[in-house]
Amino acid sequence: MKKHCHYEHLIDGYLLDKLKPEDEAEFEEHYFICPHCFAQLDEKSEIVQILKKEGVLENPGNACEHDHARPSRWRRLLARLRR
Amino acid sequence: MTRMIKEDKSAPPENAVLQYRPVISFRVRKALGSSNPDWEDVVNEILTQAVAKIKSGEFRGESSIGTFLYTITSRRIIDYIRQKTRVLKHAPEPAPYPDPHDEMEHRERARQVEQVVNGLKPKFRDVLYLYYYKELSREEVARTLDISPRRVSERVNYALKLIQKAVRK
Repeated sequence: MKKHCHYEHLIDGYLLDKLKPEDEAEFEEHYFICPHCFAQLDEKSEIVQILKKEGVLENPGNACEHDHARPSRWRRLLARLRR
Repeated sequence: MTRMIKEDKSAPPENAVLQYRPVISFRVRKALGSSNPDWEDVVNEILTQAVAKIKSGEFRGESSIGTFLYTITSRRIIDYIRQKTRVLKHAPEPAPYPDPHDEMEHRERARQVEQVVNGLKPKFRDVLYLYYYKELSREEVARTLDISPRRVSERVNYALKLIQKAVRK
């Protein structure tokens, strides 16, 4: 089994239904012949489904501090420099 | 795989085709929805059709068996959706019955995932929240958190590895 496959980066997009139709079809054909990508896809699929639907990440108050915390001084400075 | 079928004529085609049951099931469930009770019947029809085509010589090994099965699977999914669209015009769909054993296993895995997520540092949870829950692109997450897209991937991969490790146990 290969350690990496150049189609691997499409797995997340496929699971989140974000691929273009032509990329989606290409990736579907690919994972029928690539046990490495299929193993990754199968394992990630349920986890992504849980993260999306089961309320595990639902509470932004706990889950997402960026909504509430002020960025550090350095971050603010860097952001200003980039403008 | 193709070679295996060509060389070993005595091996029943069922053996080669059945190895693809997980991948065909995955594709069918993704297309039909995993709570659709018809998915298993559709998978069995695809497998039966594939074996029949191999036995009749319709599959001559010009493509790989994976590609051959992908084609049969895609066609069957399209047919199923067409049939259902026709049926749904006349009658509402009955509610699906989830398998209680599968449901229990899924709930257990959800609990394990939740445990890992709750133990993550906020910087990892933030990325998971924005990427998987809010479904922002990698670049959008990077802009929101003021980090590089590469850093987003690193954080997602790190968090997923921890989750996968916990779920595999």
